[in-house]
Amino acid sequence: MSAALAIICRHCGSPLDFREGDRNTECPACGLCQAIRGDAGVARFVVDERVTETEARMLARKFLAADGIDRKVSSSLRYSGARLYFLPFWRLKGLATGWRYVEKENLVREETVDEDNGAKCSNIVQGPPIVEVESVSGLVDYNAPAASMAGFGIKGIALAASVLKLSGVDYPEMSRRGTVVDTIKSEEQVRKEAVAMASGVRGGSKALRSLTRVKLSSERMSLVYYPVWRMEFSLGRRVYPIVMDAVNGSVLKARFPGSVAMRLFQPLAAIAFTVYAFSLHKLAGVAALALLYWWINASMGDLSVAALARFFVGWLEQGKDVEHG
Amino acid sequence: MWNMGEYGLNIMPLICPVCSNRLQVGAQEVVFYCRNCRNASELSGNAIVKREILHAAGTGDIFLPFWTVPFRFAASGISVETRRDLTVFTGNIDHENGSENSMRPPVLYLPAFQMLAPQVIRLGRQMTLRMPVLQAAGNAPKSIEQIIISEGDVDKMAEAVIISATPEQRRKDYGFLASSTVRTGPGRLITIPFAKGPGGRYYSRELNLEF
Repeated sequence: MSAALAIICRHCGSPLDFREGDRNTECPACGLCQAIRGDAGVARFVVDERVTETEARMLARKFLAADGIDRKVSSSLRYSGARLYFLPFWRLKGLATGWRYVEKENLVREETVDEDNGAKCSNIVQGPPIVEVESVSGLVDYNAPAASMAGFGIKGIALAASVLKLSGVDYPEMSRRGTVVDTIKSEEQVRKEAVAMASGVRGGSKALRSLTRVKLSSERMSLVYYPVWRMEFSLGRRVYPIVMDAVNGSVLKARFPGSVAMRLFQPLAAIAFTVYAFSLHKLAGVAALALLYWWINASMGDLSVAALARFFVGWLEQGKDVEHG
Repeated sequence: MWNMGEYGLNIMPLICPVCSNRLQVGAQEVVFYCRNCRNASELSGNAIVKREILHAAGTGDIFLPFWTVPFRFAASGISVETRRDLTVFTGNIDHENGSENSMRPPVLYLPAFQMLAPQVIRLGRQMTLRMPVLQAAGNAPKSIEQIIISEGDVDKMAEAVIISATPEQRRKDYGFLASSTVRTGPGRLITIPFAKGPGGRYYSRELNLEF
């Protein structure tokens, strides 16, 4: 069952083919054109989830079988559960028009000739500033998370809302199925960010002063909820979360323990090699000892007592955690 | 109208408020032109209301819509309140010198149809500086180009057009730019006939304008 409310024709009840950013649409069945507007100018949509919990769990297991993640660990990980989250994203389309004034530093070489001895002398002096005034005009297609994504370990999603099937939001139904993440960024803040992006560079480090006035017109703002699965796997007391795109099933964020390698014979081989080198020649022994020090330093990070103990006593070496996203 | 307010969406069937015919509109249109009764309409709140539209006479079979709005421009030491002021300010030749027209407020022209963003400003500047004198057409055209820029957008784009029409010497004056303000009046929607020439360029013989 979908959490979404299909946008349907007022006349014949057929589903409308509607793309985010459009103002009007024509019913493919009866041909009636209809205007679609959001409350207070903001249309709210949800992207339908296509990956079920079972599929998400299966895809996560497939991901765990990938290289770099310890096989024993991945097979002993216990699935603790999953929850569907609807992450809000602001989408803003429009036309940015205005102007930009930039006054830049202008350094010029000035040459002077000494009248007495004819010697030439050159100095770098400040010339009249270079002034650039240009029109700003361009399409704005801005996409920004409307909530903090920190809890999901992701910065954002490349939201291709123009090609995804959108539906009207039904908050009670969405809340029953998952968690609708609250928006914390206001529409005005999004407008400011979009305008700042459209205003572009301000002359770089050589700019003495600048002035920009850009306004946004033909504005179409929408709030799109995008579904993600947050699954949890546990091993002992540690919990390993996976954030998965509920539309295409790709893993957005994950962290798992790396491979564990046995180093049982490593210290033994090192000591044996050093003793053997000393038995051949004193100098060879010293060289082997130096080599051993270098090896311990490279593999353990330092030559502290703790590091030496880890090298000679530690049998198992834990690989670095495997991070994704 | 079918209200889906609880879901944050309003879906409104587009029916001509004058003749009740179904309107055929594009995805981005904001003012709808009825091919049946040849009237324009637009959304106002949750209703579709008639919108006045004037048609200029001329040769050409493509009717391009423009917004025309009276404006006032002010900056440090400069105040443009009449067409004559605009002519003096921009250094153009004054064709209306001494006439009653020259004392009227200057009019900003802004294309209301689909164009690339830089072209909107360029064409707006050209038309505004030309201050064309248009004659009303006898009949309304059967169809016009889609109107995708709303009246509310004209005010937001006005400053960009007027600053682009400002002489370069003025534009490079920081104080002048910083103090510049534009105030616009109520907009009027007009269509001007253009002919499409080779290479997809539009041409108006009456305005002696090609783009």
